[in-house]
Amino acid sequence: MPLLGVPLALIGLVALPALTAIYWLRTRFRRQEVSSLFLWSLVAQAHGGGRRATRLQTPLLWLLELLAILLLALAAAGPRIPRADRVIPVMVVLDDSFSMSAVQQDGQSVRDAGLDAIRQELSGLGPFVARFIVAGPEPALQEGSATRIADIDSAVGDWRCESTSSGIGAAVALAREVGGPDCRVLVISDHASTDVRTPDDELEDNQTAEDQASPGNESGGGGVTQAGRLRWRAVGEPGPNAAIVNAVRSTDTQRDQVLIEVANFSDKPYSVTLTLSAAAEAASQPDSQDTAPIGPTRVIDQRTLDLAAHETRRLRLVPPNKDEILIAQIDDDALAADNRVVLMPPSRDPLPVAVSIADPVLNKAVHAALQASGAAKIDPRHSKLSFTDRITPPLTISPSIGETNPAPNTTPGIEDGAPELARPWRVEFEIPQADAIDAYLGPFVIDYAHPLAAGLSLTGLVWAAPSAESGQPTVGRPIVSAGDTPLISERDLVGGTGGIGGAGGAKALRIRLRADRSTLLSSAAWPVLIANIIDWQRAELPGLSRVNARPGMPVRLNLATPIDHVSVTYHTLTGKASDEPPNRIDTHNGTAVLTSDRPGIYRVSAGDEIHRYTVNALSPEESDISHAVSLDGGLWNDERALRTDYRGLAWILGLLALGLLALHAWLQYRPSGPSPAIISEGTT
Amino acid sequence: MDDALSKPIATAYHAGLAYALLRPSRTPGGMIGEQLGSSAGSSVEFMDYREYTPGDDLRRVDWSVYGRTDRLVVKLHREEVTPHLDILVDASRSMALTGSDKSASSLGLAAALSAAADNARWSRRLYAVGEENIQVPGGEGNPQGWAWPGFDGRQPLGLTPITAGLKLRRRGVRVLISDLLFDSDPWPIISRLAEGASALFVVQLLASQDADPPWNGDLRLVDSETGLLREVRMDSAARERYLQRLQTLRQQWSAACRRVDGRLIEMIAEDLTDNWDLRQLVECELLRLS
Repeated sequence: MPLLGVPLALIGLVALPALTAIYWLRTRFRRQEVSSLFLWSLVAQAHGGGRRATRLQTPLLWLLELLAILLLALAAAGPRIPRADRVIPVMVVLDDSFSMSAVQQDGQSVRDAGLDAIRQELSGLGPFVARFIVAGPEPALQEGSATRIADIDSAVGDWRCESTSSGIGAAVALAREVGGPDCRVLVISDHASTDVRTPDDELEDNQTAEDQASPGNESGGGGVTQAGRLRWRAVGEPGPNAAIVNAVRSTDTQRDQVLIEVANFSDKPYSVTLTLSAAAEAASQPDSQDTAPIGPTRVIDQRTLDLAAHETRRLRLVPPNKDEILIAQIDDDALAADNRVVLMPPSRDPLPVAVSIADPVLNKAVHAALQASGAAKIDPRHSKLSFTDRITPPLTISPSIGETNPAPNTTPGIEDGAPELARPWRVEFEIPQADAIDAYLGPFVIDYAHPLAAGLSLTGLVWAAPSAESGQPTVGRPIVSAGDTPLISERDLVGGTGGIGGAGGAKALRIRLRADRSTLLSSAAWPVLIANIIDWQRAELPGLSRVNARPGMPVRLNLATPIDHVSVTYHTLTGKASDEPPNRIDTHNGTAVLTSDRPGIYRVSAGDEIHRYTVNALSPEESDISHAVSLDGGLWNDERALRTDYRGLAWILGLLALGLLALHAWLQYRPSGPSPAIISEGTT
Repeated sequence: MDDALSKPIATAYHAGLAYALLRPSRTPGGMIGEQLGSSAGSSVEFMDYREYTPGDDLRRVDWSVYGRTDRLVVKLHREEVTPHLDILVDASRSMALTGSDKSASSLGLAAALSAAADNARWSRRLYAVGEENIQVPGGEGNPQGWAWPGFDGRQPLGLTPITAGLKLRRRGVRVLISDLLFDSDPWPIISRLAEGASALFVVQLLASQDADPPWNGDLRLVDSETGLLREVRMDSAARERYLQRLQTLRQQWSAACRRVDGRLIEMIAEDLTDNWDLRQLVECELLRLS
């Protein structure tokens, strides 16, 4: 398809009506009454005129001038036609978010509309080779490519529109990396390009940021489409939708609770029926991949929710049986992906712990915090976590932080009677003497990347710790410090409960604290710290770290028996088995990290172990299709594309214009012959 | 007579009082009057003798000559006549061309000739010729009393025989006032006008735009009589062609007039109405200063 390099030059076409107006004014005949016409019969005819002032005449000179102007304007606009021998590479970025699966009013899904848009864009491009990138949370380059319109459906591959987010920016970057500098990028989405930034955009933003004091001065909708060689086709259609935007099942060891949030994303009230069902987890053999993960269901609660416009209703439900699978379902609407969630029953086994602390104040505080956590029980014989005020000698510390090599065959810190491979983790309290302490008011330096720091706030506390001269030598990685004084530090023990030796072994946590001189125990940070310690240790126990995950959230599987890999089988949220073969995930140090972006039920086979977890499509941003748009922006062609893919026609048009002007000059200045006697006659 | 024409007619008549019609070399005829005619008549002025022929009035026999010579001769005297002027004005629409003084100047010229005729004690009549030839009621009297029918003729002069229906006085002086801008052979018109006339004068009265079109550019010309259109581009070449044709037309009319001892007088309407200077008619021996 021909295109123009400088479309702005077409403004020169305004000369066409201007020239026509000049001719019209010039050839407008003045009416003049004369005594008689017969003396005028031999007078030269009017070349530029006609009988009616309102009817535009088309003298040859005028036509030539019009054509010359037209050709010159077109030449200035830089017309180009595709090179016949050029195959244009195209990278198509496909928005994989589940909002693309919404059904529009005409019954067509946004995904199908996107396919139509791809066909439309590629059909006018000439010879092309298109590759496809599915833009989920992580961009996925599809294997196939399309060189014909008919190949597109098969080449889009895994574009299922089931992700809860779409990293289009990363996908565009990948597209440009894979496609190279000559490729064109086509983005198919249902929203504008506000979330995509290119390096050029960022550079431009940085350059202009100093001049723009207003923080709201954003490039809405422009973004990447201004960078050139990128077309953005949004094929969405705004519409009402109700969705389950949040579903959480408690992991409390005592009782089961479910939190469900249902949102109405339309501008009008919306009535929706929420059905909560329970199902037993289907028993399956380790070798069986096709067994449905959900057994027969029974409705345990059903209610109608009258939601106001843009209202989000939060429901707290207590299921009758905490060991069953819960299924929440609302009525079908434009977007089906967000109408159903499946919540697996989490593991509720309390963590056996042992407490051996001489300080009565500290001992009481530890017991209280353990009880408050609801996730631990005092069981010294089978304890996997030990709270003690006995400090492990530094010489037995593992080399994880490079201090000292461990002594062979030593088992420091092992409680009496603990099995060899189930050594408990230790929490060691270093309690200084009253005359050898320093009290710290902060600021406290907290490593928030550590699991123990989740939700921990020490602001305003008084923390009494051993003075630098009197304390035990500090080893391990500091987690909480006051200046250069570690208050909480972590180190590895040889062996442990959670791992199979090595780095996955037991941990020793040292807390340097004088309880009666500190305010920590009376603050909210204390139970938070103890709960974090319990959760940290539980995460190292065999089994899944969580059974109800969100898309993209890593699920860690600690294997009780070390094997090389695990197999993951996918089922939909309705329990339907997939045709896809099981996904093989390699393990590392007895741990497999499973990351799933696709909502569904995942069955993990690890030898004789069978685990299941669900990923629910919980994404208010994707469920809200009221902001979906249908637009197109950006240009396929930049200066480079024009140079490489197209052949310029400006010189041809310029030559034609010159020829016309030469003919014009010849016609105008040629010797004139006798004029026709009569050119037109009529009556007034 | 409408007000637009009465004032120039009055002015022209006043200007014409300074002139008198000049008797042409061929003695005009007319009814018995107070001026001597070119043939024998009953006036007291002796003209000639001739031999008596039977039938002659015996009272005119000069008996004294018979007594001296014994020959019967008859004494001839000049006849006494009243010379007559017929003024024929083209009544076609072209004589009332919009934006020109042709209508005022044509009737004004007729009034001036009438004044000159009155000064010379000539009788006169006024005719409107063109599509229909009529004698203008009151044309013998004061020009202010002329019942001019108007310049309404859609037909150029000459299509209707110019003397048809008119009783022009024989041996009278005839003056035709017209722009002569029609495509017709002038000889039939001139010959008819000259028939029985003692003298013929044709005054071609043109508007200044007829004589020298001032326009430039593209024009849609409208024929004032027929309404026909012609679109022309007016430039120097077109003007030259037009003037050549006009000159050719004048030559044709002048040649036709010379065949009958008539005269073609070319006048510009606007020049005439400016000062009613009739010396051009004196030079053409139509008028003399009174």
